[in-house]
Amino acid sequence: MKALILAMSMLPLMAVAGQKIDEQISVPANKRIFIDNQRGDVRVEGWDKAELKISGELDDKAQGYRLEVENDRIEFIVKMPRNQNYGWNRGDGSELVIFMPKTSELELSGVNVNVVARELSNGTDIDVVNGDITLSAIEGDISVETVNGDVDATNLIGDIRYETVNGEINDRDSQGKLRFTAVNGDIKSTSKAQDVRLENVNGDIDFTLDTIKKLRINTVNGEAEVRINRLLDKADIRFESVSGDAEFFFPDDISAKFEIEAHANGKIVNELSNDKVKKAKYGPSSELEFSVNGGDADIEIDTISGRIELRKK
Amino acid sequence: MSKPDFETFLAESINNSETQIAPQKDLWQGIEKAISNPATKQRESSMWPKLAGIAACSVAALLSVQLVFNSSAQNTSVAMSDFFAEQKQTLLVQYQNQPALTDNWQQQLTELEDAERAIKQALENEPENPALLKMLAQVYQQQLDLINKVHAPKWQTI
Repeated sequence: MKALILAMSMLPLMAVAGQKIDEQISVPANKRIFIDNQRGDVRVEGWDKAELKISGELDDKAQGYRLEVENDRIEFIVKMPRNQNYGWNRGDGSELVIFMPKTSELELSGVNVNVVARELSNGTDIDVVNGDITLSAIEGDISVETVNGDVDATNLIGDIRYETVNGEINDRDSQGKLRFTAVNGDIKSTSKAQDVRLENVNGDIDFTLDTIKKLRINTVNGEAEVRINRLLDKADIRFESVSGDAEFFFPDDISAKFEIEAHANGKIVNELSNDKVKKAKYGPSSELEFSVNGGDADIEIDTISGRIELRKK
Repeated sequence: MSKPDFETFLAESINNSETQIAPQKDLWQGIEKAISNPATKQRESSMWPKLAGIAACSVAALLSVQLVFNSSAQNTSVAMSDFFAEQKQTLLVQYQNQPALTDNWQQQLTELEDAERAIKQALENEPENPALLKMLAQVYQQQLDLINKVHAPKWQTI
């Protein structure tokens, strides 16, 4: 009943295209905030108040907006014409600044929209097509998806998933679990995450990882440079590439057993020990297996024709 | 689906095999050595025909296992290729009239197909290599994901 009354009280006035918006409403604690804005720029910040505040200007093509309470979430939707021939490329998109309770989860979707989000403690799910996404100081389950845009993230903590097709990903000072899925974009991360996975096709990979328990990298043609400061007990590292090269920098005192295999004319360079690469008697493959300092961690690398280099930091 | 009969499967595998099945070189040496080993120390005993029979069965079993595993690995690779090719074709037909969200996805698809060929070539030398089979599956999956992603139905109302 309360929700119904709240919903009734939130029924918005119809706004005309390009009109200013300035709404501030109380929201129940821990309700998910859903924002749908197709074009423009949206900035979302968490604050300590149990209130949602939306200000700025709507898209020139907007046909009003909807702000209401659904069962488990509060929805703010900028209504756009359904017909794509309506002149979507004309006029400006929305310019919105949104403050929301930092303990609420943020879900945001759009098409040609740039998103900035910060200071949230209950995770976020952002999904756009062409926009750039900039995140900072966010905790919880974090999912970021863009097709052509870049992602720039600082100080994220939790279960973090980045996904892009052409965009670049730049992750700084993250902690927890990291997942990257990309096609073309370069991926750079300086992280304290202990569990890191990456899958891409062409983009270059530049990882500086503080402490690793589990690392999985699967690339087709990407060039990888991976620096690892410390491996935890029984750490598990797997790298696979088709033609992508990889340069690994390990700590001086690394304790690990290595199994490296280059299946077709790949190259293996080992600066961690005096063990030599063995060429197959028949066929173009070569392999290198060795163990250093007791062989605690397990490191397995497979490439078809890439160049694998093992170096000390 | 009925459980496949091993003998039938083995017979079919032999009939379908285009390459001549032969024991590995090391195995031949062992067989030759065993055959040429003089029987001077052997005493006439009814045990030897049994042992020879066991040895022959062991060699046959080894050959069968090798054949089955080789055949299985090749079948895995071929079955995987057939499955993904069909899936890919279905998706391409399904999305053929829908605009893509990126203008370079076909180039990316071509690069994934190049990778697919490189892995298949490596599999010719190492048909049982699990890392290569996994990489092949991954590249197939990436192709499907790419096609789906750039034609994401959720954005098609735009």
